[in-house]
Amino acid sequence: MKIEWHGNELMQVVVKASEEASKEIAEAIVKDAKNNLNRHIRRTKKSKSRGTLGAHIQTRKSKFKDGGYLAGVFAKDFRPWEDTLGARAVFVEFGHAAPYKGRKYVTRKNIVKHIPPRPFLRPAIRKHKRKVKRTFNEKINRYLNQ
Amino acid sequence: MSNDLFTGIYTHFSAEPHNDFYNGVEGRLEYVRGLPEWVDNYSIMDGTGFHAHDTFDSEIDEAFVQFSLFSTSRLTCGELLKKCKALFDGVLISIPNHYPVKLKRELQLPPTLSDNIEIELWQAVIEFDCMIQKV
Repeated sequence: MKIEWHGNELMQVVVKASEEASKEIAEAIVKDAKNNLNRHIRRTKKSKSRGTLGAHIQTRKSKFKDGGYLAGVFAKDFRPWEDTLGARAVFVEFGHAAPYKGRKYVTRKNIVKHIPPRPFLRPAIRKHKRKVKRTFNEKINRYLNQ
Repeated sequence: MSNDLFTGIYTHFSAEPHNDFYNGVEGRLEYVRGLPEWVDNYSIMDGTGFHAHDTFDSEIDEAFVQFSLFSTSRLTCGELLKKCKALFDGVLISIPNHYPVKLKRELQLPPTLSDNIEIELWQAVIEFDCMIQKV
């Protein structure tokens, strides 16, 4: 009896399939996150948004070997302690404290109100979480049946 | 469903004898917006999503509840986060007209400085996931 073992070839197929699947899922998450964000912006009556945040919701290839794809807000200027795009994304997603009745800054004497969270990334991730296993299976099956 | 969930959470939060989290925020927990006079050590809860998980014969919702914790001290903010987690994570909570609900930590954001603020106001976030079913 002779058994042919194509271990390396199979491994390459699995890596290729999983990379394609992770790219597909990351792109679907980005699309949904952008839709969620647009829905939140439309609800706000006096929105001054120029769509900058939405444009920075992107997919990126992980810098690690076989790390797959990432989906998120990628801003060059991510400094959470300053008013930057990356910091604003966190505050939109999770909500934040803000000055009361149109005042510019919150001071100790001033009054604080809370801007509720407008989650755009979390719902998109939850929506596609269940599809991950199915997409991986589909991709791997397609390659193995070729 | 959501009203009952938040009522149950608030009842658990304010149960006597008062827990560490209640004492830490001095009872300051509100839904969506804080009271105007609150500046230091307070918490706000929001519902960030309700998804239907219905089966053939029962109505089940998966709910996500977020707690935002505010403090003028970064260390206190971190302590509040720890106390909030201890109070709710993995704990069964009684909810009116529903089966008891077990909250499970979904994500956690460490203390970060809040936006447009002249004073230092630190904010930490913890989100819990739970399944709710009517009796």
